[in-house]
Amino acid sequence: MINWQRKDLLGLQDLTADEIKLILDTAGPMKEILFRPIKKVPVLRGKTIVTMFYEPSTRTRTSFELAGKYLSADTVNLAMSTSSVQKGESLKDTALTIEAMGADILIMRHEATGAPHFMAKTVSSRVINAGDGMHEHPTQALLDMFTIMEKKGSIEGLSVAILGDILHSRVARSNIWGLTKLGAKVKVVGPRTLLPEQFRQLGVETYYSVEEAIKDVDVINVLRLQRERQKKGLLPSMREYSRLYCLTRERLKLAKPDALVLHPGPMNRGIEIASDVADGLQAAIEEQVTNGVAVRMAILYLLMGGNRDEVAA
Amino acid sequence: MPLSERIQALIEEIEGESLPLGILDITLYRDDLTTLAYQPIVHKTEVPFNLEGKKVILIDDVLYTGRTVRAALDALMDMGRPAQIQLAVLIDRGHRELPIRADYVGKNVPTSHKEIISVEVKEIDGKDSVLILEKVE
Repeated sequence: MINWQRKDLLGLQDLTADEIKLILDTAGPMKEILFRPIKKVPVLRGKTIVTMFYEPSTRTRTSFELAGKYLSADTVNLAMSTSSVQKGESLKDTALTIEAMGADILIMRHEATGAPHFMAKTVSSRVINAGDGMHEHPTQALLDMFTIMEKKGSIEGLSVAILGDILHSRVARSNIWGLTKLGAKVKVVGPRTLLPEQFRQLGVETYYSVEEAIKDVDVINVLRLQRERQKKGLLPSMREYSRLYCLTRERLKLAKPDALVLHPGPMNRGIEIASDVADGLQAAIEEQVTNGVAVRMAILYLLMGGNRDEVAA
Repeated sequence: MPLSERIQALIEEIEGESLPLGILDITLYRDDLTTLAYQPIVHKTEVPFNLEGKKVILIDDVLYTGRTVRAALDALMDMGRPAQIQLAVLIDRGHRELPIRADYVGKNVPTSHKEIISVEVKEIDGKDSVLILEKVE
């Protein structure tokens, strides 16, 4: 077993397989805490966590907040739409202000790629990327991987299809980096306009036909069609998208009989996933939410390791 | 862990009663986390039964400063309200830093801070032994 030595968690692209495994192994015992009558352990007592979400989010922000509270940290949520950002304060000044108030961990979501990386260099507080633009969403990928580990025992050797709006998806990118590092075979599938060929450079197979892509796979991760990010002309219509790419019961039959269905939420039922599949026995979508809290507890715990300031320098 | 399994088996042999056995990982209750450079690995806690009103025997191999026991007591209390908690240890090596004592002690072994007690058990190490080793600086 290795130690966690990084100050921040910015993405899965630069993590090693061992670091990813350490997070997943730590999430297991954290999950047990969630089922206790008293869901609280004292490990982050006296630590302060601040969430800064420049983009809307309910589940990720709430999940981080609860994860922090279960570990006894104090958590504060900054509603960026009502903060000084509206008065023109820069990202850097906002960060320095919050750091000066004594935040130990900043959790940040931003529409610009690299914003959390900039933040991590600016402040000495630990920074967790909760989604930056179309780049990375590491904690979502980690909770997806944790769910796969729980259901399938291991990730190595599995065949995983990621279905949908690949182009706009930071969830897809983080999953690709994480899953391939742990030895899974990854197939990505979506309409040509939402699946650039450059994705092959990430070591995945690209498909434009759902039927071809999900044949005999062990896991299907269905992405949300990000209606707010669609530029004109990428999709003829929602109806056509759903006709060609919606994960229906019939299509699911092409995968392995025990194939696992994941979705990061929030779901557009009837667009990228059929309701009966989402509520079916093969789906672990609700469990993903529970696992999300456990994985985030693991990350908060690992990042808050002792005397790091002296060690890291 | 093997120690508690052995005690469980012996109690069953003598009393004819099989007692529930749980595992406690006290990492998240340690008081020295801020002094360590890196976070220790967290292991599973498995206490799949209700502690409410139960008599609980806490078992550890070596009792030293008492800080691990303090953490374990806090962890137990968070899982319910036992009627009583007793402490059983194989070796008591002294040097307590907290007002804690064991109810059952296999052997008292006076040691110095410079020494380490290493407990080996058949189930893991292939043999049963307790060694006093010199700490390598």
